[in-house]
Amino acid sequence: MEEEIDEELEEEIDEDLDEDFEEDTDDEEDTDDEFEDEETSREIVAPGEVLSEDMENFIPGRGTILNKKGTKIISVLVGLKQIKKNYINVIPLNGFYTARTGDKVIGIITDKNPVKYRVDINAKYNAILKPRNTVKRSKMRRRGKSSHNLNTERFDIGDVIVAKVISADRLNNPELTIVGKYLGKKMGGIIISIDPPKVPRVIGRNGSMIKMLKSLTDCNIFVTQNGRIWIKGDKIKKERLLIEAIYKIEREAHTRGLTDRVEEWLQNEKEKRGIK
Amino acid sequence: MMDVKRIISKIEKGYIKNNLKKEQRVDGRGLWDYRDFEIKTGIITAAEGSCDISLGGTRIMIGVKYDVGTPFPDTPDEGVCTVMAELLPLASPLFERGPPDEESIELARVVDRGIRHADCVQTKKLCIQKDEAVYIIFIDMYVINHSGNMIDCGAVGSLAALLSAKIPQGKWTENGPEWTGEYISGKDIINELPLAITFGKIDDMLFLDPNLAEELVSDGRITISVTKDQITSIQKSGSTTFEIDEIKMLSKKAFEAADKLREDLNLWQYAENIEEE
Repeated sequence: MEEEIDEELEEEIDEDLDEDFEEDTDDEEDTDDEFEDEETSREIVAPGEVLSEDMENFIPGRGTILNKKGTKIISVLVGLKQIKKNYINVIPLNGFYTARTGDKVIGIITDKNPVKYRVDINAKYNAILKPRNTVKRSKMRRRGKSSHNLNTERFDIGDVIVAKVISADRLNNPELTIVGKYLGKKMGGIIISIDPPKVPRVIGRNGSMIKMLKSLTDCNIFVTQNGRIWIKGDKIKKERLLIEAIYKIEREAHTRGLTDRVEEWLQNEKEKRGIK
Repeated sequence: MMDVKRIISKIEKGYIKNNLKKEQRVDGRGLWDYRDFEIKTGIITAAEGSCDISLGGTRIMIGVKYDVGTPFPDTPDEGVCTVMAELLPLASPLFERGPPDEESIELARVVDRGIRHADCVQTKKLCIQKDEAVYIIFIDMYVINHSGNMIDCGAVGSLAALLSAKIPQGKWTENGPEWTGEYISGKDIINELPLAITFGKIDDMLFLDPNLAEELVSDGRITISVTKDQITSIQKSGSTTFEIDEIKMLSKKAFEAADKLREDLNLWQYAENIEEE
């Protein structure tokens, strides 16, 4: 009896999740281009720098802490100061990826045992993928007819998956799921990795940069929050051009007017290399 | 270029293999091309000779130091030259601290063998007094960044460091060796330029100068050290096997590649006394 209830609950939760994914119609995450944001000042701050003493109007946000008395907001990172509503954030110039609930990540299976898979997601700690989060849902199962025959997906060490973080806190290793739209095993293509804080730059404001890259190089691109980018094109020449363009974006992430410059560069390079 | 972890993902393996089948490399080279060498000599003032060499992303710092010691009994009138290598943990997540592991010993030994068995270091000229005092030359390689094919990089770098070396000339007196005020360098230390040429093998596909991703995917590699007209050493590592025809083909390729490298790099420009000659 208890099991049935559990299952029902689980299904409800998962259906909620499914709806969430369906809203996400584009391949890439909808992240604002933080570097290009108008509220982001060009001011570079260092760890320990006092950002504000006006405690009535501002609240410490990401990358900041309060001093002991609670009278000053202090930066803990090297980065750009950003004021959003009444939050003061610091956008790091580079750094590690920290898993957050709801992020899509590309991971590599590094270990497996009957209870769970261990997944390298480019973060400080390995993520965990439990078999129950790999269940492929079919209509048969939803009606409860074949509930004993769980249709879980199997992975081997070295497989590449796109997954969603379902829980992440400071105490436990992040947990992943591959149930949902666009999630699951990746076949073919190539993965490159960039500095995670520069991911918004590769996507651009409202996806402008990534749309430009896609249209100019005819490659499929999938960018995830942990700084890994999956690329698949029909010709290695185009893939190489795209990879070089992405590294160029990473190098020049802190500059203005990047999309136009990269577009010009890509068109020049295409002519030079004779790519149609 | 790619994520370097102990576990290389399956799609990366597939990508490298599929492109190699079409005779294409992941970094856009041809099958028999080297990445770009960059050589800077004279970077360490405390050393007699030094070199900072990079081959693509691989970067090694090499220093040459000397000592005066007694010769080995079987070669009483010959100096000694030894090579040591250290893989710093800074270079790659694959390296750990601690005593030298297989890879660092292999790097040192293969570079050493290439130099030792060629007419490279002029050991007879490094003798101060027979049975009493000879020069002992130490070549120390420190890998700063690992991006594949450390052996070729180290071999070229060692030669550049030796060429740039300036060793105080000693003469024998009753109280032991004394400095004459002159230096020995260039042609007095080195005659021939042996180069190590490394080939990787994935399935049946052979290629020159494997980068790190290819090295991790490959079944093994073979290093052929060549002078202008002879092979001085061959080292095979990994689980792969080579047929005799393959070895013959690779030897020819090694001579071609070495000739091209000698021409491109023009190593003699780094010699200390080149202007005087």
